[in-house]
Amino acid sequence: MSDLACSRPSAEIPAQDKQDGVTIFIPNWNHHSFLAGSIASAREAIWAMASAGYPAEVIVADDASRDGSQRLLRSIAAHVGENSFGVVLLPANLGLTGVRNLGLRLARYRAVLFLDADNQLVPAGLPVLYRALTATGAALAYGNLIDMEGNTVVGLRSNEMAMLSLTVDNYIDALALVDAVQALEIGGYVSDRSLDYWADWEFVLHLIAEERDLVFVPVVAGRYRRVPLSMISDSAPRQRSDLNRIRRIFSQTGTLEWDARRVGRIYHPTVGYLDEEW
Amino acid sequence: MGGRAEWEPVLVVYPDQGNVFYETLARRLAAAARSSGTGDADRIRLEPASSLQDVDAGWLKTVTALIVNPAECALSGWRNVTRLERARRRIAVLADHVQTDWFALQFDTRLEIDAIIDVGFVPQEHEQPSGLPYIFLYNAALPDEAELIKTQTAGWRPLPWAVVGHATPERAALANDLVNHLGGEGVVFLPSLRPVRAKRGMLSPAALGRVLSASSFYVWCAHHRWAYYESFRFLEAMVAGAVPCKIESRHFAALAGLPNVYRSVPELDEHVRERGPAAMFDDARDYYLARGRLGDHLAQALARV
Repeated sequence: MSDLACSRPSAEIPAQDKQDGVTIFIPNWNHHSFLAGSIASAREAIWAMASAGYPAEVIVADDASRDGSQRLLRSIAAHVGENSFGVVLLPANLGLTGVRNLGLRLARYRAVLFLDADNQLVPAGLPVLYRALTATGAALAYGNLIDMEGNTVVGLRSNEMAMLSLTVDNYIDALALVDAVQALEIGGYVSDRSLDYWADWEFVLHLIAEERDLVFVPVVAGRYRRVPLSMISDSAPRQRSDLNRIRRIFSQTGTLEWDARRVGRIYHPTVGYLDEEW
Repeated sequence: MGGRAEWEPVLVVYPDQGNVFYETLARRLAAAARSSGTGDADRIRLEPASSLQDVDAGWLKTVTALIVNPAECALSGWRNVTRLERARRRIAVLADHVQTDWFALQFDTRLEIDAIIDVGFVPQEHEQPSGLPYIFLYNAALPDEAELIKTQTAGWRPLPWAVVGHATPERAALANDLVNHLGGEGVVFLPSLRPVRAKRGMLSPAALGRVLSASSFYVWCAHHRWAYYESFRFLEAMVAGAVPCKIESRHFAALAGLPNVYRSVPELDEHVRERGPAAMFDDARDYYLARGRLGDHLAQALARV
């Protein structure tokens, strides 16, 4: 499968053998200049998890980058040298969804947080997300992401509960905590690489269609870096034609087939469900 | 203040299609009138705008109608709202900065308004552009709110801070600053702008109360560019025992004298380190409870119309 440059075993772990805790999985493709920041935030997050009494690990998977990322990752792995940090170097490009599915299989822990290599975690948010995921039994727990352009805050995303408007457009980013067992049960991320651009959206809609629970946790989970030439900003015009494919799969009758009560919830582990009491 | 007012018939009308915030304001006004009046409490009525067709026409002719947010009341239909033309007088009750678009929209309802009551902490008489008689109503506590605030225990709580409102870049930056200075465990609920109502993915007043009851600080910044203090956020914090904190970088001087107003999050952080949440809450409590009760202020305001 891959070259390996860490002490953490790289074998796939079956769903039934996954342990309680969080695997932070960082897929990387040509994000050499951002890797140090994302990895540092992930390592701080597993310290925050440890402080809260929860086990966690970080796995970085390089998807055959061409920008020298592998050399940097080997260096970081040698420097870190911990069993809670692993690097996987793929010899051939799998594509983003293929790498994420690999992450679901490699994860030691049942909860998997996908962190794109150009984004960063807010460490204190991870234990809150984890408590929310385990307390609710949800398949996906996500929190606010602060949009950054350079050092300037420009907005928010993943900032509200899943609602019927999700059939029109996506507002839930992949930076979220996923129950790997439930994700593997439904087949993980879509394998059709032509849908890579819409993979986050397709995954969320697929979870909803399978009647899995999604919870929005009102905490800051991370910082999302808006960069020119990213996959989202670069490919939007040419991928618009695939938008109708997504809608055809999940909302052929508009939103008539959606049960609003099952779409999404708001939950914070300190105060419980927050979308009731009206 | 403190005398018992003789109330003429009052009809408090609230929008039942718009923000629940205005319904809360209307309920507080009705409760204020009932709490301070000497007469029959039945002379004070509370009605949603959609039920105005059911109000007795003869009684309507005798009342002062306090119309909370006329623009949102109009969402229940012109037929309902225009029924208020029969009232003895019509007073728009508002709680916005007077130069915002929201304020201007209030006078586009085809309903003749006799006066404005502006509910808040800081009078805006000299800025308001409507040309109508303006009466300021200090947003003081109801008796039961005052009792609750007296008994609240503030301090360090499981959630260090909470930011709630609709999403704007400024509020996203506020959340980012709070993460950096007061810790990453705070609550951030900033969905896209839409009415705060059931089945809209918004927090109910009760849910907000539960969040604030677990939070040390309730922090906000304006969603517009004008100098304004959001007195209802102050009250929401106080009844939950959270410290109300406003960040106001542009108009700091205009809010001088109000407790816990800061130019920036680092300035708030510095004050937190110096005073701590319990003392900061006491500052806010001392300020607020020394300013009378809402019923007395309302009686005075209506006497001026």
